Amino acid sequence: MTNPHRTDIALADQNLVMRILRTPIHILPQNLRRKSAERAIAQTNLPELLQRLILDVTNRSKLWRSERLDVARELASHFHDGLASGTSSDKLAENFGDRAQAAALIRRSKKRCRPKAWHALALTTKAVGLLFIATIALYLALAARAFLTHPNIARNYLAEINADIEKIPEANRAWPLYRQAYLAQPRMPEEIAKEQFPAIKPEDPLWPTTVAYVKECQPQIKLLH
Amino acid sequence: MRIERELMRGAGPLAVLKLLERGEMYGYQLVEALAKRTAGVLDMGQSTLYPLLYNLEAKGLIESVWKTSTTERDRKYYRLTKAGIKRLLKDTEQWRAVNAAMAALGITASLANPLRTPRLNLGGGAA
Repeated sequence: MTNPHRTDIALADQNLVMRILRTPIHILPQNLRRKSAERAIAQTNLPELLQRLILDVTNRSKLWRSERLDVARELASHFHDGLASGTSSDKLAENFGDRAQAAALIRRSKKRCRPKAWHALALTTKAVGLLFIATIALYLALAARAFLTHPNIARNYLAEINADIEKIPEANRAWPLYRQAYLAQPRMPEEIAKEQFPAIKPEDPLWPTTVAYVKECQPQIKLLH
Repeated sequence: MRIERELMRGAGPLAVLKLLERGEMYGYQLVEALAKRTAGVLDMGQSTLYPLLYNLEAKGLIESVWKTSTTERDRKYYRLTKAGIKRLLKDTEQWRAVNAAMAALGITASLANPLRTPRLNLGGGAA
């Protein structure tokens, strides 16, 4: 003997291939078009009032498909029991309580039943999201500050650094002489520059040229001294 | 009598755990049993019962299993886990302590004399 109540939501919870195989051929196109929860609830043979109640609660819960089907299956079973005990569908719907509140409570409690990995991922996503929002907010605040305000130099570090130098009399300052010597320096012959001038020894063929260049630089060397 | 939500939040889970102590039950059975055995005081609608069951399941205090047979419809049965039994014992102790304290204040009937109905003394005179 087959169980007339078994088909309903339990079948809807199966994968697409199994659903196609187990659905009578004449209602297959209709079944494939309709949403799984809606289809499953429609097959419960409950009064329309109770079907709408289950559909409303499961849709409002916005849970995963498998979770919605599980809730729908359980509520359908509950209402079947209620009807079998002689309670009218109106009374069952009334006893159910507030649908919106029920959907919210079911959503919250069903989410708690999800795997720990999901909770960890959700928490991480939330933390990253909050961090991103905080970064954007900080960036916008700093950008607004940069664009809307004018810089006010409260302390002149350059003047403070130069203060000691400014105290030295103009005549005692070496830098103008260094600069004068540098600018007056004759151009170094290329062959000396290529051979790395300070490394040239007396036995080197470039030695005479080097000596001539150093002699040419005598006024600048005196200025440096 | 309609019980305040805060009180129900504390009493509801313990009442369900207690009902499941004797064996597994399905949702409709629990609703009926709660209404009958508590004379309607802990009568809760499905909108309250099922979230409560899912919460207990998430905490590992109960577990559920779908059972099907060739003659009956599918039903989801709930049963206590080991953690649920421990929690039931612990919460029962706490509720007894609360009840004893309330009895001492004249709010509830004493466990030793449950038939004695507490009287309110609003006039300030001797009880």
